[in-house]
Amino acid sequence: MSSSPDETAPLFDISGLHYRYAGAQADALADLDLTVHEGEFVAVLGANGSGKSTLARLLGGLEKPTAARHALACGHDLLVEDGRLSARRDVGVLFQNPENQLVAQCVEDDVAFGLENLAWPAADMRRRVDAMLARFGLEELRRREPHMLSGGQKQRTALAGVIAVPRRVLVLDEPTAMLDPAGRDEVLMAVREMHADGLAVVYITQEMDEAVGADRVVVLGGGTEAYAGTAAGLFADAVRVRRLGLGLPAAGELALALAERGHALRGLPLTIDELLAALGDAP
Amino acid sequence: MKATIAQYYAGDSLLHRLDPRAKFVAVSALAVALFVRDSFAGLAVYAAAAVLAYALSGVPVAWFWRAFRPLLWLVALTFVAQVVFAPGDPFFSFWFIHLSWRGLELAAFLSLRLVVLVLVGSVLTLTTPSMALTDGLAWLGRPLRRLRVPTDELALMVTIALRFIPTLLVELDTIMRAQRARGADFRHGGLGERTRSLVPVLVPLFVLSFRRADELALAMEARCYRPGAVRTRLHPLRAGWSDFALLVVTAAVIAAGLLV
Repeated sequence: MSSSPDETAPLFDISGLHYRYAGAQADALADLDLTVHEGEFVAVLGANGSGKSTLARLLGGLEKPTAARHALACGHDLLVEDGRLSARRDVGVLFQNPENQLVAQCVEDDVAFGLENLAWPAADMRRRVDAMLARFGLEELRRREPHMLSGGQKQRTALAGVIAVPRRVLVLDEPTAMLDPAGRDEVLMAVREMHADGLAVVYITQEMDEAVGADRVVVLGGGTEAYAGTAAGLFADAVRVRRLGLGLPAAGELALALAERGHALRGLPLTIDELLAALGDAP
Repeated sequence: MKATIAQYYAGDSLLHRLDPRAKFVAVSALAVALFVRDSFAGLAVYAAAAVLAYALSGVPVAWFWRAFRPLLWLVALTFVAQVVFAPGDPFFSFWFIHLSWRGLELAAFLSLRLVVLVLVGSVLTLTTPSMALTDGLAWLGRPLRRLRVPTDELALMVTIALRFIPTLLVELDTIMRAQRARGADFRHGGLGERTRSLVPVLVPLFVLSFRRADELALAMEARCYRPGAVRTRLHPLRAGWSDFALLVVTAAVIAAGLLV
């Protein structure tokens, strides 16, 4: 029951999920439903303490749900130990702080770490690691020590290490939160490329702009689903956005500010391009 | 906080390419021989071998010197202590100082032996990345697994510890600057005061390290790490004929040193 992944089944099929930290008074996640299909890009938004990081750990099979009607990750039952261990192979999880994810003393050894743990033969591992280094533009840095890397390079190394193990879905927990703008662009670009190649992505973030391109947006509030739908649908209701502890994408904030000064635009632009287009239409 | 031990020098010499296990065994055997043999002739043989090995490593002398310079004090101290306290007929006496030819000879021998020992050890650490060295030691320690000593896990621990030293040094610097900005003084006062002033530095450092450890453990599990599971390596240890040759040559050098 815990194994045999089905190609057509959802990657995450989660219903009535609860998680409570030991000794806590309330659930960190309460009665959460989440379904993610092959090839989807789902953005998860939420204020601090809304349970986003807890969700990332649960999806990756790194924590045991306190209770759930069902909780399947790539067909593996997250409620049982064996299922969680199998889920760790199919679900890649990238965390916020790149520094605390790098284990080895140089880039290529770190990229190989997951494969070493799965006891890949050295020759296969060499090929896979080289392919990952090429894909993430890390070939020149293969012998570099982690502390000699920039933030963006560290996070790309961590990402390469997560993806080196062939994954069916990638969960990213605020992967750009600790990076400078250049590093953020490097990582976002790499994630978008992987999604374009067909990998399903669950992208947890506090950055509204990063949620805009997603197929679907899920907002967590108080440990449960407070909104699920499109980004446009979410940001259209500015009052709800504030209530959920979120904001608007930069382009949207600017459009609202313009509207307050009597320069209302048609519709709510969510990207710079949409904003420019709307400004072009304006009288 | 630069190199205080002879740090790995990236290169591609014959010695760099040798198996870390063979190098470790050779160096350990030579170190034991150095301690067993107490004649200048034997020392000369081992010193010649060490110098030759260093030359083969292709490491610039300046690189070694930078790491060795702080150790000169230790060598000097060894020399002085031996000269002053060694037995023998003094040719010069003043207060508690009695200089004898026997004492001078012994002091020279012991200090030279220390220098050769450091050189021999340095050839190992200069030509072997610490990760290869820990892998090699884990392999050599394998018989201990029978006694349920988790050698592979210990080796990974050492690797991770070494990996995080630069990170922690940066963190230490940040915390000290933050405390200094709040008026802390680490440079003045007596030993007791200065030690006490370190408490507000070490406490946050420990707290941060524990948080790091938690996150790292999670990231390792996310990459399918399971203690005790069989792992393979990207750079497997491979011993060849050259490693066998190293052991034979080392044995010959040791024998020569013992016999001269």
